[in-house]
Amino acid sequence: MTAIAPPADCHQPQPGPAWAWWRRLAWVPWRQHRSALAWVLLGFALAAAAMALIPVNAGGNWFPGGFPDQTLTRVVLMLQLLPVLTALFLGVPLVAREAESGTLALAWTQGTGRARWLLVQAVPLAVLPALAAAGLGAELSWWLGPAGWRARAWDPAQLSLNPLPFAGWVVLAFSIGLALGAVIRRTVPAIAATIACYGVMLLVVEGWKSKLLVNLHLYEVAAPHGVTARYLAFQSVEFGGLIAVSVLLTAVTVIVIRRRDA
Amino acid sequence: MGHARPAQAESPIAFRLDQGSGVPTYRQLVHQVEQSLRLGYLKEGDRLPTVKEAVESLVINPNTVLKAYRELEHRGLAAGRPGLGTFVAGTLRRVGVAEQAALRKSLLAWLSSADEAGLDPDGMAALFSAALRDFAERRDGTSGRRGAGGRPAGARTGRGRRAAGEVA
Amino acid sequence: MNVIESCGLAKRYGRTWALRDCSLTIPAGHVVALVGPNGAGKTTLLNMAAGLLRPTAGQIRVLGGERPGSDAARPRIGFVAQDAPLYGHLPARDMLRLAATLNLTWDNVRALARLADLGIPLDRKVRQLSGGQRAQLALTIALAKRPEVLILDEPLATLDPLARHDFMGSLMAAVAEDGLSVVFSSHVVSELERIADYLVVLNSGRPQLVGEVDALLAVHRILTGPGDEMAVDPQRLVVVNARRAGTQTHLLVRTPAAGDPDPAGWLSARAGLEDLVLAYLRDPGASVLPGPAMRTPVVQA
Repeated sequence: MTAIAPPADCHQPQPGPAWAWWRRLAWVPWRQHRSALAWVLLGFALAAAAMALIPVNAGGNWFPGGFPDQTLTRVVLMLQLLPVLTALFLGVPLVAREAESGTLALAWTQGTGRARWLLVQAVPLAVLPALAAAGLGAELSWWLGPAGWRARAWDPAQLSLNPLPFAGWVVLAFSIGLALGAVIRRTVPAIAATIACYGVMLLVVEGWKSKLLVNLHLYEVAAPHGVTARYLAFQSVEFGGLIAVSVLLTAVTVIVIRRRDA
Repeated sequence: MGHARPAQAESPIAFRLDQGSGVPTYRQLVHQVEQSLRLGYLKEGDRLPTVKEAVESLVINPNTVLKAYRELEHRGLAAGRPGLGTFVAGTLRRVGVAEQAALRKSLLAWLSSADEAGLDPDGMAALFSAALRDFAERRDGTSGRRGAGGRPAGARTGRGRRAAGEVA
Repeated sequence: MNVIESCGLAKRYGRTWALRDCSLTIPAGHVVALVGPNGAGKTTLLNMAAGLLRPTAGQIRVLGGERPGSDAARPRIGFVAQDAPLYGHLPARDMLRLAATLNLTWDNVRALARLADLGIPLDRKVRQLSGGQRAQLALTIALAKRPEVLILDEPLATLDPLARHDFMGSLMAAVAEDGLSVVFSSHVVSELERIADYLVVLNSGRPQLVGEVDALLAVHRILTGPGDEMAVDPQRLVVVNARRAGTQTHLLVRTPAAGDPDPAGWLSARAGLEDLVLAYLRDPGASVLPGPAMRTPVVQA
């Protein structure tokens, strides 16, 4: 019976570098959240399959700033659901479900502190869906084809669905779910609050972007071929901003769980 | 359990606990060891139950067993060997079968007199228990809870009326 | 070393005070029973000692001065919360592994040996185990991290009599083996006398009776007599509880010292632990508390 990692008859604190313990702890999110993660990634996979199978209406008209095609609308909506999926299945339950089932009293009285316990789980559960999102963003560009992509490049919604920003939105959604789950401590209300918060964030940010793009007269500029530095800059700023807010939210979450009663 | 301890022979005796008797647990254990010695269940060199064995089966505090074993050591009946357990070190005068039979006979005679005096079995038991407690505590000297000069408690048969002026 | 030391500790939930002005010291090397009615604050106190709850007022220290829940304290305390929370979806083997991963010190050999002795199959899911088995698994996990003290919140509440017997026997064996200190709470008093050697009675969020069981029992006795309370000298004997039935009175009294002679005219009997606890619970004004151990002096009623 050797599946348990620490050596048998271990009576002393383990020597070794700190990262070794983090690596050993990585088993925890894998064991506890792997099925939820699988479901979320399945959602991403289904979206990817849908895009691969559904043909874009190549003959349709492409209008900048609008949704000329029903299929496109549906695809975009579907993709917007995925960050929410991540938040609800991975972010919210991390603390909220353990609070509801009483297992925080078990998890938070072992040798591992609350901060380490939270972070060692939150990081992989945010990063893996983010990578999947980046992949989907790339697939979306392919799906639109050069004409479609060019026509809609500066649409705020379209901007968000490029690989970098899309990954950022997934991480942000996860962080919102994590934070609200940690504060509200009950899954169902936290889910409602997360959807509301994420929706508000989305509207606010998209609103800013639209104004910004109008002010910069980018709507009227015909999108160039391929990716330009300015386009990448926009994506990077969006990505950077989303990640910064996520990190901030997560830091606040760690502070909150350390101070509050279990 | 999972630790490197030499395999030991089982102890010949297992302790019992009489919860309702009012006798402190550790004293019950001491008496059970003495009784086992008297009746031949235990002989010199036998191992007494380990503290762990005793507490696991009786569900009592380990300090109680330790207290009992210390008392037995004090009386010269047991000796602890570190890492191995506690072993019977001395002997009590064994009561032979003939002696036991004689004692039983005199006890039956006493019971008949008690019956003639009008005591029912419960009354006989109460009188006997009280006298026995008195006897044991007097014999055990100052190891009772009350200390020297104190009157032992635990009686329910009118001894309280003698309390005020009496010094043990 | 004091396992738990609190000074003016208080905890409020909304408008309710679960603990109020709770000052006590619980020494190491004992099996400590924390008793009191439901809502007395036992769970609150133990959860605070485990670092899961923060005080509203006052302070609490564990293991001779450590802050509860700190990195220094957590590995040295084995805590089992009420209802022995475990991850139901995990097989016992993975539940052990999870606990092992979350702790730096872990005695795997002992954990596996204990489960084998108890007959708990490693591949059975925790939610499929019986209540008694779950409690034993939780205890195994708490013991495997080799703590100095075990804190158990109502470990027997959901167990049937056989499971209770096995659990307590198992616990006592662990104490015998490791010299652990144990602090456990219970609202059932009847079986504590043979297990606990230190007692803390909490009533309405305050400690009422604190001390070694032997010492407490030595200074209390039950007096039975035909007289009324006036016959007992209040200077010498504190009457904790009085019960009258017809022409008979039963008093539970406290003497200033063990071995004091009984008053004339009364039958004296040893008070059992259950009698003692019940009498004090019925009289919230009475208390027996040890002398000042922390800054705040403690008043004896």
